[in-house]
Amino acid sequence: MPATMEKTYRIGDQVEDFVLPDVDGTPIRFSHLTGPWTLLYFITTWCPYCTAEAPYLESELVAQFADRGLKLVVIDVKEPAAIARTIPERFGWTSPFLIDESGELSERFAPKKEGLAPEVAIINAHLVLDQERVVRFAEYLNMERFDIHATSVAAAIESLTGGGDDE
Amino acid sequence: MNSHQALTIRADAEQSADLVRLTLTVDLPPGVHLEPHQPTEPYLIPTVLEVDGLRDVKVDYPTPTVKDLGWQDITLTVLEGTLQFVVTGRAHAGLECISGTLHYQPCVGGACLPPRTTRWQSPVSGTTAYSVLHALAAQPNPDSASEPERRSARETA
Repeated sequence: MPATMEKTYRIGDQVEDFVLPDVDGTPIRFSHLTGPWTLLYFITTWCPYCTAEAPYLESELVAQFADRGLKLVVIDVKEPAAIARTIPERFGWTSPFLIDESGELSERFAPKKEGLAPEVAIINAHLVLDQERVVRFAEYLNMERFDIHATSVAAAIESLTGGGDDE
Repeated sequence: MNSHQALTIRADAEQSADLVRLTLTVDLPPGVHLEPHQPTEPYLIPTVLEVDGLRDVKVDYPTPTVKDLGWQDITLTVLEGTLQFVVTGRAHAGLECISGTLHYQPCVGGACLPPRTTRWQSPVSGTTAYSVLHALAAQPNPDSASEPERRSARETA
């Protein structure tokens, strides 16, 4: 089934600041979490791709670019905190983990895929933002080319952060 | 995939003395797969059939097929097409109805959808067929296939 892939935030768009609660219910402003580069990642407990990639996301992918200022911010989509919090606990993540229980915030990032609800279309999405919160790279789940090491995301971050004006 | 694709469930049950035999036949639309009862990877959500009220229950799950999605070294086994779950168990003679749940996570196209639990029931010595409309579309509450989305058509009693 073809997908239109039209999305709210496109490459080059600046992401508006927002506030979401963390797993303890504390409201967190997104702009307080971002760095020179930010990897924004969307997840659910029931997403097999996410739980396949999770062991490598922070310890491998993000750690690889930590010295270039890459921060990871994870957003759990449409699940209550009591369920969502099992993810960072399970994988030992220390990066910010926000709860979008209504799914409304995540919908702004979701590609339009026919027959798929936004909260499904957005899971396992990787968006790389610069320090102005401008989307510089976005990759959405494609089951046929899924990669637990997110190699293409790493390559994009390498390209964005490695050479200055090489985007 | 569109939201009107339906997963259909057909339940056939019969009893001899206290032995109950149930065959649950599930038809998946083309392009849809479920994870097997024993997935090849720990992060995959298994398909689980539960039957209420029987003793000594034994479930023979459908045999999965190998599906190479090109995930590095990972080869998945999945359930596709028409699936048959064969259940045997024991109950008091004269059981009128048998019921249970099917828990599964459908995957289609480029995504897996929220896991679902669908209730089914069948008269013993009869057949009930369900067309679980919208079962493959995302639902606000993935943990229950609500009554309105289940279309029940008893074929024989």
